[in-house]
Amino acid sequence: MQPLPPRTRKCAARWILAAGSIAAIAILWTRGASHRISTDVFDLVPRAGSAPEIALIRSLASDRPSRVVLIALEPGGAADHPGGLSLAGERCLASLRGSGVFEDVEFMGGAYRDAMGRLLFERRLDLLGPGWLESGWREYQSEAPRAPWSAWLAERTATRLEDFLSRPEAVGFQDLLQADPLLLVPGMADRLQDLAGPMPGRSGPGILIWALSRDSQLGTAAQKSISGALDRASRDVSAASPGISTRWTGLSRLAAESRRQAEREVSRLNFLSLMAVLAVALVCVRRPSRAFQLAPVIGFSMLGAWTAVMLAFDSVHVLVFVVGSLLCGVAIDYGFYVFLQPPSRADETYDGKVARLLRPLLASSLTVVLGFSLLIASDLPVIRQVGVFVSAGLLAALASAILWFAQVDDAFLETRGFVRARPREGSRAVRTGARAALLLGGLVGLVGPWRIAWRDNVHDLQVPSPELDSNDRSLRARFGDTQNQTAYFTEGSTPTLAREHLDQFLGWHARAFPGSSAVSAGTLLPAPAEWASLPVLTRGLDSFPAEFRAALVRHGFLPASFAPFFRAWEHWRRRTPIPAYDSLAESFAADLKGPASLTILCKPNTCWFLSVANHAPGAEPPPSTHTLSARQLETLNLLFHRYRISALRLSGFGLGLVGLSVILIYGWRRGPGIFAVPCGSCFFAFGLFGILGHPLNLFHLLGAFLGVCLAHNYAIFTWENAARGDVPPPSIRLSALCTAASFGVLATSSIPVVAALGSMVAVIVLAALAAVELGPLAGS
Amino acid sequence: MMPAIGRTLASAALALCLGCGVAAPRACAQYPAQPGPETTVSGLDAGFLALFRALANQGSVRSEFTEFRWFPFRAGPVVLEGEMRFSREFGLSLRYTKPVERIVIADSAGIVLRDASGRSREIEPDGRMPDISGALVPILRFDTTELFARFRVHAARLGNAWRIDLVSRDAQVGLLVGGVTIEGTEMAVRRIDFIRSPGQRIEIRINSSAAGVKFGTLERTRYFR
Repeated sequence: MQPLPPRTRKCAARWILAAGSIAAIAILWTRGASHRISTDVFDLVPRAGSAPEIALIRSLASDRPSRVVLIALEPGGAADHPGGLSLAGERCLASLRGSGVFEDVEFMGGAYRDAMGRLLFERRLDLLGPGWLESGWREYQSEAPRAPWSAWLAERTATRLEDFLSRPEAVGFQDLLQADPLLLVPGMADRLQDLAGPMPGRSGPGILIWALSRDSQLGTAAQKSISGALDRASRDVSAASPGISTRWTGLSRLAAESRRQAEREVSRLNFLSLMAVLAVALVCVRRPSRAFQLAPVIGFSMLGAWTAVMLAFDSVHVLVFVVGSLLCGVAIDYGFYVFLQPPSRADETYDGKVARLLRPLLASSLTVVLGFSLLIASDLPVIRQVGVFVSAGLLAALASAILWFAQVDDAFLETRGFVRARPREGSRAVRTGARAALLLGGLVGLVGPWRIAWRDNVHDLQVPSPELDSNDRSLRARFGDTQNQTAYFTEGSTPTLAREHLDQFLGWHARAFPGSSAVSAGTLLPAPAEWASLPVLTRGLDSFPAEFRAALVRHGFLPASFAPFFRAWEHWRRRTPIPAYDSLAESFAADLKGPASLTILCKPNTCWFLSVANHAPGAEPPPSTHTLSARQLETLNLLFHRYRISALRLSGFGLGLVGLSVILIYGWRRGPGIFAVPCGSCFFAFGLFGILGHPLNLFHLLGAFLGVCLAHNYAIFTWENAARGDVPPPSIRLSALCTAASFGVLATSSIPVVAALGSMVAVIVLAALAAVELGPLAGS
Repeated sequence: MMPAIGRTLASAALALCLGCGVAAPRACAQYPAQPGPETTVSGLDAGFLALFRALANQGSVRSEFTEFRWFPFRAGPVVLEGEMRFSREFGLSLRYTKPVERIVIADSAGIVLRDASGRSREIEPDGRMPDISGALVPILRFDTTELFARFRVHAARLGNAWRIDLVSRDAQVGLLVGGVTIEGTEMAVRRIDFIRSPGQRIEIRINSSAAGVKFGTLERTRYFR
């Protein structure tokens, strides 16, 4: 085939670049790219799947628990304004209620416990009656008395009521007993007390207010309206009682700050990364102004990456673009390989040069793309998005590098002498030094990986905000969230299943933590089996009221005093139909107000109960209990451990494919040697982190994969040149230095996973560069 | 209407705590039948001043008591017997011996209920509740300044016998506790009555008492927090 005339080639390249750019920009415009960038941490984890953590955390994030705002009004100095605090509390409450932003605003310290007690009392027969009957029936069967069930139950109830009157708490319950001689509510007092929550009198001076926003706090509009309402309330408090400060916390505040910091981080990292790459290029080439010819390649690469990821996903997390800034360092590689490659002879055309470089370019790019494409099979959306972003970006970089330099008059940029400088081969000292360095690297790669410690935590995906976190912790502590408690969430697809799972969990907890107790509002509901047996057990109780009256007289009571109970009993027994268990649970959950409403959640297809145990976090409940600890939900460490193992398998498989491709392209003689460079660099990097005691996470693994792909490029170009008897091209050094600079910038990120990725890639590419530089010297 | 659980327990504790004030051995006496006129600290006669001073300075106390609880739904009272220990340092401890062994401890940190097996349940103070401790402490200590600040005090005398009626100035405390009547002879408390209504009443009769006692380590561990 005849090469194209230069003018035609230039025109064709420009048209293709322009058309591609216009198409990409049009796609981004029509897809509304700017509105589809998410900062929601829950977009980093799967929307659906088998992981119960994800289902539960999504449920928690979309419902009441994520809409809570905690507010503390605190006196600034000495209490020289008696009543000032109360006035401030009233003003704050009025301001928040009048804002229209909140669904519920309550003072903490007992009001909601009273409401819960009142609800429990009003529904005592439905909620507690079945359990009372079931335990009575079991006792009746074990005693096997001659008396009929109803008469036996009446006598037993009157006896227990009499015994109860000599207990200390009987005096306090005396107003209640005329309506509850079955002692249903006093029997639950212990559990209510344990669920009571914070004791403001003990949690420090001030007033605590609990509020529930109307809208999800993950939305930007809701975040602004909540912040505005709290600002207005704070001003009202200051005006009413100077010296009283208002502190608050809530998901909206943390999410808004996280968004602000992530956006700052994206801008900072992308700018610094680009500057670092350009700085390396400007220092290393003879005509620095021409180095700017490399910038369009990076631009086209980023445009291609953005377009592909926006086409492939409805919503893309901002972290992808933070990680995606690594493309600056990788995309420029292809520009280097094309632009810095000198012509093989004086009359070599651009077409000839591209044809000569096409095999190593395609070999390096396609194997890297192949490897990154495997990430699309990952469980984590963020990794899938990174896989598409990097794969598309690399292909766009390769295509744009070839096309861009096709329309440049002089497609060769000479590097400075020091970039091409090489030690004298054959020198004994150089050879010995190179061998010693390689041997040391090998030792690190062999020994260090055994010392690796892994740390899996979803918080590594977020920008840390120490001040807000500290404020959040201290406020939550004031509201009763202590280190010596462990919260558990028990889930089921229906209330019936969730309640059964709760019993299984409480059974496991009693065995796993003897001496401790776990309480749950779920136990205020009868067990499904107790509810099911209710019609049978009440069938024989027609004569119970009369027999109970007689028993009360025998035990010294005045039966007429218990008229409220007998009315409620008759009403309860005669109602038809008896509601289904799920309806009972759902209506009870819907009636709970204030913080108590966070203890049970019943929605279509899912229901969960909160349990609180009086011990520090310990062993995790087994999967059969369908229960997760709050600590597990906060860190998702077990889930991320599973994702890491999954990513390890994918990376291993991808690495195998890359190795296989290299061997297929370069054969058994050269292929393993080429593949040894990325593999060795990767082991060295893991070894180095292991020896340094730096804990690794999922994103170190991802970084290692990227590093291996880059190192593989250097090996290919080195061996291509070696096969022709040439020295390694300077583009390898420049490429490695640019990549190291670009990823070095990422290593400074305040987002732990971005820093992990940056540091891992930087170490691997520098190790690979050292390997390709030292390899020939050691063998000379 | 369902009473708040926390409030009812606190009310019970208050009743128990108040029900075991400092006391002396009982002697037969005729007490004033009606409350006396309301008085102030400066309006107390020398006899009552001496009484308050003596009760305030008697130190730790150990007593035996009988408690009668009247409920509106029961024909007769429930009768309980037990021992009371009071120390300004450790608080109040009530050990019920009949009909069921049980210990109730009330101190500045709240209330502890302890059963015969030694298993304890703590009830922490609730900031939203009326100031129970604030009401209880002045009575136990016979601290006149605080007592008169928190209660309207009526005092009456009939020979050696005397009667003090306390009506809380805090309406909520008054609602929980009702009226408090303390009766005694000479320098000794004999009977304390808490009357919420004609049908709701607790009467504490002091059988024997020793003042100025010292509690040993074992006794402190067993009967206090």
